[in-house]
Amino acid sequence: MKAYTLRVEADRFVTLEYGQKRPGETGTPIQITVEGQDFKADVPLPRGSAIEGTLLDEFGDPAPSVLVQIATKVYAAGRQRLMPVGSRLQTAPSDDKGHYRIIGVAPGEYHVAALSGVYTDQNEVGGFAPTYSPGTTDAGAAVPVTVAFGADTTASFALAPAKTVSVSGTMVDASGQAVGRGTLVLGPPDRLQRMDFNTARAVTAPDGKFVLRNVPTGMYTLQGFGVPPPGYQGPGNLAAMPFGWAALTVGDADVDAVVLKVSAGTSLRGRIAFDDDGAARPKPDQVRVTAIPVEFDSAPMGGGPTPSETHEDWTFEARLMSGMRRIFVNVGSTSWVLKKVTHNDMDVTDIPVDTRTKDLDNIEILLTSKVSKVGGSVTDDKGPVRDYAVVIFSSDPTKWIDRSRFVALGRPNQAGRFDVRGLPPEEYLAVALPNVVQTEWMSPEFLQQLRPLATGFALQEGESKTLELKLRKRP
Amino acid sequence: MRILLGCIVAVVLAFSQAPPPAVSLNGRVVTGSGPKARPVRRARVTLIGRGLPAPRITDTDTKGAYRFDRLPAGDYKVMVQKPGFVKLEADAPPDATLKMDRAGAIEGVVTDATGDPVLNIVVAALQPQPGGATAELMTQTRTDDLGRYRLHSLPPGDYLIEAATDRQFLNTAFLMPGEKRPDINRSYYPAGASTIEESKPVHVSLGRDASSIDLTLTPAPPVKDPAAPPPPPRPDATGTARIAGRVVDATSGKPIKGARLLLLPTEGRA
Repeated sequence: MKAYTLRVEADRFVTLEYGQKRPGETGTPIQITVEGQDFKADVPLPRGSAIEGTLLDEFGDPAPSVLVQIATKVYAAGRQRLMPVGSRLQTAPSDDKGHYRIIGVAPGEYHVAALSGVYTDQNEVGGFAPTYSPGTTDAGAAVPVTVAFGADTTASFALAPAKTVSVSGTMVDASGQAVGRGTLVLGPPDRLQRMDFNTARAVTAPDGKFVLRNVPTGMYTLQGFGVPPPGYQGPGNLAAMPFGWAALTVGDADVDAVVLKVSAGTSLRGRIAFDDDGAARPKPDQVRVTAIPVEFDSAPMGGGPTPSETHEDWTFEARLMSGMRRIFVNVGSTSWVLKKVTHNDMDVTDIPVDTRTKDLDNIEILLTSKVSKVGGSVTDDKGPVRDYAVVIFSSDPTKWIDRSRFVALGRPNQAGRFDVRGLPPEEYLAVALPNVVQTEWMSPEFLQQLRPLATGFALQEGESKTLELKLRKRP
Repeated sequence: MRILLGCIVAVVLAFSQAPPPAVSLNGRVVTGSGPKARPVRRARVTLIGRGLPAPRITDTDTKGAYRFDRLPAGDYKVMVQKPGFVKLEADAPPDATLKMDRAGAIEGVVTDATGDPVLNIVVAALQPQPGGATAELMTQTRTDDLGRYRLHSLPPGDYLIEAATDRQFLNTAFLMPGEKRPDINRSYYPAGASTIEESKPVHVSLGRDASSIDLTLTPAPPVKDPAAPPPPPRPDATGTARIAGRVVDATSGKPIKGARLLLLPTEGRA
């Protein structure tokens, strides 16, 4: 049996998956069970909505050449952030009258940010801070606009004036040689825990020099990504490039001579072991060990997975490590699941390790074939419910960490039953809701609200549990 | 003797190449004149001069003022740009007051033969050239989802308005085997003009909008390619299944043409 997700997009319509009723939810997987099966998959798409408006300066004159970026408040990488939605191609810069229009917007709540200067183009004028509708520079105080199905929404506001200066310097590699065509990303310091996530990008000249023009006064993290070694065959993934970072405070004067050093970082090495012989072992290339940053100043704030190899003898090496990270294991087999991660015999299963300065050897990844199964169905007062979302989470809030093993989402299959596999032994809570929006089910704030609605159960290693849950109202 | 002369010339040249004293250039950009003059704020000022390896760029401040420091002595030109104003190119004496004019604009809607707005049509303002030369492209933009366009920052003059399907858009269009990309199709103002010869110019005055300059353009669908090789035999379908269906407008139920579909294996926990 194989399951597929079918995603459909069309100009002027909202992109949806097959079976997806609301944007932000997941669709229904298409289950192919027998050879020669004919699966009928009609997909109705709602018309895209638009957000438009007029941007003004502090004197009431139009603000042209400003890019408008819409963002939604979502739980991402460990906390609530305003994550940009859609591509910047959905909007042209504001015109001579300050008018903009963003098309193809799905219904929902959006923060509308007006970005100018360094956030737009190397040569564009500055003089404004990133400003959120209805006219604040504090993303936390911004008021979202509500977009309905197939209807346009207006967001017009004045931009906040700001001193903007130039930041210039050179990118060098570990040996001090200039890095040409390196990528720079300027963003908010993660350590300040701000909501906004506006980033500016630039590329270094052949001599490694860079100029970021019109950077508003403030605190930043500047991250640099070098170029791949000769012969690199992989995808254009920033997380697979040499990396470096600098904390930057921008005041009233230009910042010159910044030296941003990028290096190949550190490596994680160790071996994968099996706790038992309960199932046929996976192939080494089905087990991928990596590490995800727990902060995004000294580790990349963007990019895909870091390079990692698992060898035939079950040793592995994960490269291009930086910052504080949690070791993460992807097992491409439903018969095995992670049991434990140790470093020099210390348990680091759900605990960050320090990959800032030196390599980490002697990491042991223990897999078990005792894969737990939590399945069941959901009913309301009228009987069985076919469309729902089951959130299963540890009763211990300290385990509600970013991409936790102890928090899972169950969705109904075509028979209306959910099936969640591989949860570690723990005291759990489970709750059935009509739907969940985006990643909210991972966020501690949301789980705290679910707690009083939930049913408790204990799960032992490898145990199979069946839950019959009552559908609850969303908190 | 000739060698000695060569040495003297070299020495003189070396002296003349000593760095000249660094200077500053400042100025102010305004619109309107006399007591009605107002600053042009946050305009982009580009400085060009033989002494500079690359143009320098700065912005005017909220008083319309600009300043370039640490310049080698020499003659300079400035180019000042701000959307809504006619681009200004001028000599740049110290303490210059530069006057910009408010520009004109042309706006309208592009619809197809059935009257529906067309998205992502490239609309261009062309200026006829004397002596029958090819009309020169002055500026271009794209239509939005309502088919609207606005060509702005135009100096006064006569313009021919052209609507064309976007090459970039055509290149990414999804093709079935045996189809080829349609050619770019074009039309002109007024609606119905299919060649530039049939087009009528639109007059633009300083600070004025020319509105309702509407055009019709029906993007051509992909066409059968007679030169295409016969489609390859279908791969062996043993052990496979079929997924088929229709993509429709959720409100009207009308089929949607040109939708793109992506099928991905579902990973991880259910």
